[in-house]
Amino acid sequence: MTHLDHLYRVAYYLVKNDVDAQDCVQETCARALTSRDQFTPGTNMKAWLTKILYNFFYDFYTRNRRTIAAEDLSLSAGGDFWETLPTQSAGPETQVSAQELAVKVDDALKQIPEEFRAPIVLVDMGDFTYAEAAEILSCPIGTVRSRLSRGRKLLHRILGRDVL
Amino acid sequence: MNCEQAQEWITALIDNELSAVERAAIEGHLRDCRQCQQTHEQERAIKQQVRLASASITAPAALRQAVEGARSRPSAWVQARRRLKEFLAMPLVRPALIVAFLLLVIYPLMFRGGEQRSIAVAALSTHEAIATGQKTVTRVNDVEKLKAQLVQAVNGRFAPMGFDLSAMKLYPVAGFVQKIGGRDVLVTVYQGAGHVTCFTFLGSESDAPDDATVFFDEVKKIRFYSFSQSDFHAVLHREGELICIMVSKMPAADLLAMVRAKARHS
Repeated sequence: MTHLDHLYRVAYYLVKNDVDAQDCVQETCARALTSRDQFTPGTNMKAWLTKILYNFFYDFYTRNRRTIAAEDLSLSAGGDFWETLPTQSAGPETQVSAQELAVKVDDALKQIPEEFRAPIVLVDMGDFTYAEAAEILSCPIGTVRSRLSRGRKLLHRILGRDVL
Repeated sequence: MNCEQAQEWITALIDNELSAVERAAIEGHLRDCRQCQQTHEQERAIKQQVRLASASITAPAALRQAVEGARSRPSAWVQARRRLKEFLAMPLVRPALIVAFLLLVIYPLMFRGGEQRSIAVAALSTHEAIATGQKTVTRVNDVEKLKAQLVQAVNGRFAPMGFDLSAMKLYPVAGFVQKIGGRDVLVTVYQGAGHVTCFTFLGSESDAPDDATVFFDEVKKIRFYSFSQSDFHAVLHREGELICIMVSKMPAADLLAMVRAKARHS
C-alpha cells in the first residue's frame, strides 16, 4: 500500500505510541475500503486517507478528551506552557549525533500539544500544503500557518541548539 | 512590517506558501533584521530535523501484513454474495430450493382447505371421544351461565348455536372451547336420548370437507354438508359468519333432518 508509511507516521505522532498508531491505521484502511466509492479518482488519495485517519483520531480524542487533556495539562502545569519547556545548554557535551537527534526530535514532538503537533506532522512530514492541511484538520489556512509557527518555536525551545 | 508580524510570514516562507509580493516583503524584512534572520534559520532547521526524524519511521511489518491481508480480502457483502453464488451452483441445490418454495408457498395456497378440513375431522373425533367416555366433560346445570362463559371465552366475538333439541330429549349438559387450526371452536355437548355435539366457530362453507355430500334447502336457502367418519356423522351449515357442525351417531339422514329443522336462514 503506497501511503502506509505516511499513514503510520502521522498516526504515530498523533497518538504517540505504536500500538494505538497501528490500530488507527488499520481502522483508517477499513473505513477507506468501506467508503471507497466516495473517493473521486484523480484527486489526492493521500490527503483523503489522511483525513479519514485524522477524523478517526479526532473522534477517539473527543471520546478520551479528559484523559488526553489531563496529559497535556501536566505539560503546562504551573502556568505558561512556554515557561515549562526545558532549554538546552550550548556546551560541547550537548552535541549529539544525527541518530540521537532524531530521538530527541521524536520526544520533543510528543511533548507539544496536539493542536501544534498536528500541523507539523501534516506539513513537515506529510508534505501537505497549507490548504490540504486545513482541509484535513477542518480549520482555516491561517490557523494552520499560525499553529505551525508556534509549534516550531515550541520544538526549538525544547531542542535548543541541538538543531542548529 | 515589524518582527511580530514577520513570524508567521517566516513560517510561510519556509513552506513556500507565499505569493511573489509577500515573499519580496518578508525577504526585505529579513535583510534588515538580524533577529528574524536567526528565527528563519532556526525554523528551517527544525523543519529539516523533523523531516529527518520522521523519515526513519515506517509501518511495522505486522501492520503491513494486516492491511494487505484486509485489502486482498473482499468486503463482507462481496463475500456473502460470493458464498451465495457458490451455494446455488452446488448440484441439486436449485431443485431443492424450488421444492422448498413450492412446499412453503404454493402448497398452502393450493390446499387452503387442509386446515379447515381438519376442523371438520377434529369435530368428529372430539364427539367420538366424548361419546365413548375418552374425553370427560364437566356437567353444568345452568345453561345460560354455560353460554355466557363460552361467549366470554371468545371475548364476545360469537356465541354457540343455541339449538333447542328438547323435543328429541337432548339437553345441553356441558360446553368448552377447543382450539382447532388456530381458531376458537365453541363445543356444546347435548345428552339425553343420545349424544349430539354442536361445534360453532367463525368460518365459511369451505370449512366443509371436499368429499362432503351437499344438500340445498330451497326454502331456507341453506346448503348442508353431510360427512362421516367411522360410525359418526356430521352436518355442517352456515348462518352468517358462523359455521355449525352437528355430530352424532344417529343415522346421517336423521341428523340432516334435525339440523335442517333447526337451522335459521341468515
